[in-house]
Amino acid sequence: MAEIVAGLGCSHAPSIAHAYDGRKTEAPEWKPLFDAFDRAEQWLLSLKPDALVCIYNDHVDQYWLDAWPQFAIGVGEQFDIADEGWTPRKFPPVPGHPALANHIAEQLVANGVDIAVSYRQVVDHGILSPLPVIDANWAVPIVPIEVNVIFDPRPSPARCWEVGAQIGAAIRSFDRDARVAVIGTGGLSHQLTGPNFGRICPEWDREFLRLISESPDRLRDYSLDDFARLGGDHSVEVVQWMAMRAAIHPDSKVRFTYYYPFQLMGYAIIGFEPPARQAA
Amino acid sequence: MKGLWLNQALNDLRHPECRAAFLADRDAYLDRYPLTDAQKQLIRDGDYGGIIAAGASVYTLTKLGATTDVSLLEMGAQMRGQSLDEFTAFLREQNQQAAPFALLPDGDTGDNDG
Repeated sequence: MAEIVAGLGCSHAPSIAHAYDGRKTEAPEWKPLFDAFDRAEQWLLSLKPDALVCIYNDHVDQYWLDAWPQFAIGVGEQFDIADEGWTPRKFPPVPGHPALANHIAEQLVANGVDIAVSYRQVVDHGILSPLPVIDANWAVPIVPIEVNVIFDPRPSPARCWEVGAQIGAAIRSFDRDARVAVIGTGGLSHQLTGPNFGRICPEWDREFLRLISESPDRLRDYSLDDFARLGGDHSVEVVQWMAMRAAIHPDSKVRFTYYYPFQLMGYAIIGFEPPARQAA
Repeated sequence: MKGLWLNQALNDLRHPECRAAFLADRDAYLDRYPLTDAQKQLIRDGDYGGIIAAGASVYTLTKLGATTDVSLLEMGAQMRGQSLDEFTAFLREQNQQAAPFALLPDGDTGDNDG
């Protein structure tokens, strides 16, 4: 049976992609973040995952308003690079894992999560801003799972936690010897509209990092409005971190926490390992 | 949905042929969509806060910025009612105030002036 070998939470942002593509990863203002991603990549790849289940949100690049899903999963053989207006980034398509993805989709629907299935899909910076710095060569196939954090009505943080738990159960019931890492992308604090554009909230970000580490189930008591008030309207992407945390073993321990509040974002990366791995 | 066609007109700028059409003849591009005159004027004026207030998502607005080469920082400064220099100064100060909260690998200080 499949095993979840790691949980990773990390920010996504066009700024990460622009710094990477503009070869600014060694520039003084970006080096701290990319050094942290380097550490995360070394750790992640050392665990030799066979698949990365990436819980993220699309930014109106794949999904559209003719039917905007609350949750969606990509079951394709590969995922093309989205054109977000700047022309597609110069990467080959990202390999998918149809067997695992179809299994997760079947299990979710059988267990009360009526997830939309994407047979054809592009991926945008929700996955592609961190992916080149956590798996530079597309060595590991991905399973993208999308969460609606953009258009009302949106699923509550508690619902995202429940769906995350179901994703974890579905992965563990995959009848193959597969080592799976679960990644939640997004956040932390940022505000991209209005008179408070650009405001970040480092105190809340540190508290969120503490909660997701030590008592993640308490995050189920927060509403999207709470997250928006505490970390900015666009920080609600942290529900994807919650889904990741719910998917992995509840007694998972933090391997590392990095936080870099800079410019428009509270950038963060956190790594979790399940108890079996800690003993090994 | 408020701003449905506004979002459509902005988000179609993901397609290179739409970006080319917008840049070649903006008014003709906007006329393809059932937009109100007020909505068209917001786009002509580059009134980013107004575009959001009219129902656009910031994630469709970013496609306009990508097309017209207006950065997120420039859009943000306008939404704040500041010049880009004023906004940059705000961010520099915010970076300094936030730096003590950083958690970084050994050897990185996070000490930068942005």
